[in-house]
Amino acid sequence: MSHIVSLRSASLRALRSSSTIVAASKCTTSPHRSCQPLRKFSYSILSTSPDQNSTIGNNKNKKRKVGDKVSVDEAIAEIETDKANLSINAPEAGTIEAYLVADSDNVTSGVHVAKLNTSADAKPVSESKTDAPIGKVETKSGQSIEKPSADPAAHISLNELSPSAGAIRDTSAPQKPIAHPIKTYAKIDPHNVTGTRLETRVKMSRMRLKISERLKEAQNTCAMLTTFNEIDMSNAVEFRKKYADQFLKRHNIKLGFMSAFVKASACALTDSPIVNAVIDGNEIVYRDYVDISVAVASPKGLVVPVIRNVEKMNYADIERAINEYGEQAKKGTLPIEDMDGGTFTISNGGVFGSLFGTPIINLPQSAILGMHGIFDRPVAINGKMEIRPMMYVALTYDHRIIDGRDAVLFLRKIKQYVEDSRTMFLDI
Amino acid sequence: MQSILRGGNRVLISKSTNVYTNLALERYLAENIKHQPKTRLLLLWRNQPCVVVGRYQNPFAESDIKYLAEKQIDLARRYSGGGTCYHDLGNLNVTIVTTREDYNRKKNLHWIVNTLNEAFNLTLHVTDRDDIFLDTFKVTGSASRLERLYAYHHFTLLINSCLNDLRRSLKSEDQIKITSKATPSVRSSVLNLADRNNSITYEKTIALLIEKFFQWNNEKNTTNCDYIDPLLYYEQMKDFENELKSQKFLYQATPPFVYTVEHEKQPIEISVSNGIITDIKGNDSIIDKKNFLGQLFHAVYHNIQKLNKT
Repeated sequence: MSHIVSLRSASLRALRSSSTIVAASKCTTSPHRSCQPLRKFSYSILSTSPDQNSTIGNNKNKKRKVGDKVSVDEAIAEIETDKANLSINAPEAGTIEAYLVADSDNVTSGVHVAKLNTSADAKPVSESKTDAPIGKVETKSGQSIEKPSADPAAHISLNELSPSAGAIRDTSAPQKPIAHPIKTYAKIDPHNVTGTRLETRVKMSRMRLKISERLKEAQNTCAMLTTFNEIDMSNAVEFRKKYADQFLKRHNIKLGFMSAFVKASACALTDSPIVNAVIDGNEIVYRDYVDISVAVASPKGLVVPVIRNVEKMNYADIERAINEYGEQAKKGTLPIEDMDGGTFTISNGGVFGSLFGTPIINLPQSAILGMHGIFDRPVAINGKMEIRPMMYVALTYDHRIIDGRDAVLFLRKIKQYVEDSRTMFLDI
Repeated sequence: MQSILRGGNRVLISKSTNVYTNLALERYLAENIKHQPKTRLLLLWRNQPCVVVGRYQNPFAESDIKYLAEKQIDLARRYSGGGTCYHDLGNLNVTIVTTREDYNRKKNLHWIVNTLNEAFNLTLHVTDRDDIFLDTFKVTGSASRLERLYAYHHFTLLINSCLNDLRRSLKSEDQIKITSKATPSVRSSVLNLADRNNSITYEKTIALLIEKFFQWNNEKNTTNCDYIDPLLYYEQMKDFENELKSQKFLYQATPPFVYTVEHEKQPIEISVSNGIITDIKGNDSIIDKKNFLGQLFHAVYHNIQKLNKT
């Protein structure tokens, strides 16, 4: 469907040629409105001089030529009047079909300047096809244009005498006055940076509000610090490669690295109960179970379901639980109870390629492990340089109850249990 | 260090006296500062001797191009409309930048008139064409530019400019030879403020304007006044500056015109569009059209003048 931005919504011809209507007001009662959705634009065109009624400007310069593609708000022509240059901007993206005034022509307010084709396929359209008399880019609702002095757009554009020129005069009965039409710009896509210097405001979703609240709370209560270490993943990689097929056959799920880390964390937590504890008022609450929250990405945002009693699970159980939660998160059917509690959190930034970073504590816990990407790096082993798949890990902890020494040793334990899982059985 | 592009009521004084740099700075600031409603930015600047034509004017009709070249007076075209001015260090340029909605030329001019009248005991008044006159002499010319998000109004203030140079530079013999739809300048007799009150100097004027600017805007924070060295922002401004300096913008942005030359009592009409000679009407046998058609007018201007001699 070809969209020609044209004026007269009143004209049936315009309807037949399926033009979109350029209108700015919220008027809903005009009988001339077409059935197509009203588009709001703002845009001021032609100049007026400070003397209200004589509205002559010179259309001095077409900045873009016919056939040029213009983006929303791009300047397409300039008008000079009374020592002031006013630029005319495209209310919508499209292609300039034709200019209706020539360079250096004198124009008065309300005169049509150009025809803009806003359809996606901008084929040059001949005059006869559209039948719509002239395309005008202006802020009006389906009104006839022969009212220069009462043209709201014109008044707004250059009312040099009174700066409070926001008010439009009612030029037709059913039209509601708009306070600041200049502010209603064509909607832009918030996800696209097109360089037209516009802003779009989108209300924050409930989830986002909740997330931001909790994050700030964590920052404000905990004395947060981060300690880092690196893990040589070669053993884990080999281990996984060796048993992947068997595992898949028996349990019907893929063997990933998360299970190694979750189990390693659980063992380390049983070893260092202070990391598994939490401050409540002026008491430290120790827990004799390990519930690990695993950060999972869902279409609505980050969710952290809890795997309960990890100290009793093996790799297969852990993988199964993670898988289940993943599915539920995708479908959005994660039950609330499964998100509650947890004594420790693991966040995996590595899936996105992160190298290094500081996770933020998930209250009311005392620590969080951040996993990052596995990258081949040259490392020194026994005096020789070797290339190993290395992963940086970060432990952010609450220094109010976990001292630096405890945190570092805890992280080293995790490193040990991941680099050589056999040590878990040795309890060393 | 606060960002140079912050909004609010501010005063900036340019350290440069290069007209191209200052024009580029003006536009750069206007386009990039986060203008806040009901606040104004005051930009004060002055230039080494130069002639500045309005956006849609014809430099040949407005000034004596040969004289400018001889005396090494710069020629610049500004982005705003209006007429031609002569600038030198005795001519203060003032730009007031606001949001589009707050644009009000008359207010700006009335503020200046009131401030100067009070402080220096003068009798300035604002005219219909938004000029400031002292009795029958013009001391200020205005121009403005309105974009969707911002608008600026700039004007000059003749403090103690060299009026002889001004008259000589703006004298154009080509004026009668040129027919076009370019914006014509409205010429007036000019006067320096210092001629009426010889205690007025550039330094005093800017100090006064800065102080009164904050009062005018009811701004309690009067420290928002900085000197700005445009060189520091060269990277950001270089596109504007290069455009302003380019021959293309200077000469080829002139609206189409017809230049009539009298050669051996016969008129020859040279049509120029976008700076390029597109047509020559006249006695064919006399002139060698090939030399001129398709050439840039300003490049062959010298030769065209020679034609006029006979």
